[in-house]
Amino acid sequence: MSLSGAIVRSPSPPLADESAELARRAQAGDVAAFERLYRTHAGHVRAICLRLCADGQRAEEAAQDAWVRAWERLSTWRGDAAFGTWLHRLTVNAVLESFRAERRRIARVMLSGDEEDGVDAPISASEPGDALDLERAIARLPRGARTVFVLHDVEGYRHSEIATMTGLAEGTLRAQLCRARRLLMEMLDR
Amino acid sequence: MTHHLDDQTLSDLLDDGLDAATRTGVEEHLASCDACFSRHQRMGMLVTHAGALPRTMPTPPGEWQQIRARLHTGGSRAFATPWWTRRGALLAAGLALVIASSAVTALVVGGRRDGPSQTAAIPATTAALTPRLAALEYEYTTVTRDLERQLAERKHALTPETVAAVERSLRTIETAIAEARVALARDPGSETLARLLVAGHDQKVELLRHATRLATQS
Amino acid sequence: MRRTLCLLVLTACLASAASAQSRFNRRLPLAPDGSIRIHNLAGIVRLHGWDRDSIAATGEVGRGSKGFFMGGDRTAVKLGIDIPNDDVTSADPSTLEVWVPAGSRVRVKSTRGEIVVDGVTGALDLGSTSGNITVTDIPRELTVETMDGDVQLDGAVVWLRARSAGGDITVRGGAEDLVSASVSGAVTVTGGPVRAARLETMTGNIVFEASIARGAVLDLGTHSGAVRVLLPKGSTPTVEATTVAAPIDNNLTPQRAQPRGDGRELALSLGGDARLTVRSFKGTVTLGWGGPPLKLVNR
Repeated sequence: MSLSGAIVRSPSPPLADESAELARRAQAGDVAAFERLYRTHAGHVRAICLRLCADGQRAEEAAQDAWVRAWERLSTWRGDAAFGTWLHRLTVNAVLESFRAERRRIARVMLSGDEEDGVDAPISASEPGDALDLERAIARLPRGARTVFVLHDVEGYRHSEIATMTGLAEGTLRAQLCRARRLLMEMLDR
Repeated sequence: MTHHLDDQTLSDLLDDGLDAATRTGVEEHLASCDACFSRHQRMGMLVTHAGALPRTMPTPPGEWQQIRARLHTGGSRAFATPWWTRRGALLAAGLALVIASSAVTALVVGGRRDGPSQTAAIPATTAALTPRLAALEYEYTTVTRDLERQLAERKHALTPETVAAVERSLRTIETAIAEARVALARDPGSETLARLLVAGHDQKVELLRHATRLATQS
Repeated sequence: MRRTLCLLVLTACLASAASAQSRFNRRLPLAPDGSIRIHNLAGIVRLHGWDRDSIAATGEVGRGSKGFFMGGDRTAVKLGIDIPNDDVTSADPSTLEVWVPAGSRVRVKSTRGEIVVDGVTGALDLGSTSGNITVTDIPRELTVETMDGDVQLDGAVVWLRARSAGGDITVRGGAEDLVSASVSGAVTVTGGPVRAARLETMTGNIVFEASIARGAVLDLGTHSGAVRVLLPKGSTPTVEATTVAAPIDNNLTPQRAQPRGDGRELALSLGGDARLTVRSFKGTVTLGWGGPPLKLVNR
């Protein structure tokens, strides 16, 4: 394995043809077809939400929101991309949007100094020798770094795609990604 | 290159984000510096492990039911905007449909164990609704039927006072739904009635979800 | 001999009572934004937020319960009272008092017990079947669900979802995003400012006596409960009120509600961008001035 090579995975799902057919039926209002899409893709949607939110309850809400949004916006899926790709991107966007909405809400109500508490929680110090597995370490990352790491290193999105989704400059993304990797190495080394 | 490489450079190297000249210099340094080579390897392993994490995770029980209940009530959890709130939606009213009702609640209230049938879903009150509202009610009925079945199976896990509270509230909601439906039969274009009807169904779904969750957790 | 026997019996009884109703006192380190789950199915839970990176619990285990449990790591802790088969009828109430980092995320579950919270600014998810729930201060997110218990919130909350079947829900303070629903209980909001609210009942009354933010969206709906809205003087919302079979008593302006079938409808524009919608099937709707002085929230 070349460590210096770009590691990019395409987030294309299995059973693409079947999903496309189901999606077309769902576009026509077939809830049963949509339920089958849910059964096929729910696990991945759940994984994306849980890793981005780092909180079970929020992930649950985010996943539900993503599915409801997918239902409402099915007409915008034109079949030129795999349904799974479309759905996963929509899920990521839904989660990122909820982050932005949360920031706005907190900014309005909380004192300015409190904002970061809920939005980008600092990493809590671990006990010496407290080994963490990668999932738990990811959950402990600050939100910005976690988002970029999950999208790039776990989900396989490219910098340019992440920049479009998050609205961040690519330089900022690279810095966040580096920060995430460094913090993860530190946590996993403990 | 005499100094050690910084993490940003190593990270960019992994992502193919260095120009050719820089990359050559970095690779030369890595060939001669054990510390940087080791750190680069560790970062690469991290990225490899991240890419190999499971693509799916188990979903919470009942998630689909909750999503389904929201599909036709529109948008977000916070402020669902049902389709019929759009002006003119109800003006497109056409066919009158006989739609399903909530007789299945007998499962909970009356303790029936034989499960709801299509016959059981025939309404106590027949109402003329817009096709979309009728379809929406049908969806609600499907969801509540599922929840009622689950609740009937686990009812024994609830305390008698909880069962009594659920039954009492269900009766209240169903009375309201029935009255709204009768009124809609007389005034099918009423947005207020449509909203009140859907609010009743929402309350029923939420109540059943709550009771089912309590029974499951007990 | 007889006296000795009595003493032995008494000693045995006391020992039994002591073991059945034991006190506990535990503490664990916990991150400031840690996650906590608390179970006390039969008995009160008192929850306090504090500014330390630890969680502390004290209380007393009621007769019939197996005992107190608490475990986890720095990110997540679970604690509570273990009741055999979760059968609350077989156990006396236990008391549980817990101090948590103020910014933590806490989920509390009870069946018959009361839940009382203060000082938690993180996220709260509280559920009790028949116990009352009281929250003071400003959780960022608050989800409350009861079957028959009453809910009281004193303070400002960013995001609130409160639901009860038969209990009353009372919010005294502001909310950015509030949804409160009860089947037969009353839903009351006072204080403010409120930016977005949806209040719903089937038969319970709805009372809204709070200041509203600029651009607020308020949606009140009931089947047969009475609805009373008293706005601070100077409020300028657009008001739409409709009933199917009930009167609307408008005291905001001289304008009278118009008949619509057996009900009434009223549309007012007081010039601002806030929007108030009231829907009632057969509950009386009353609109008027009153409440606290007008406070506006800049968006």
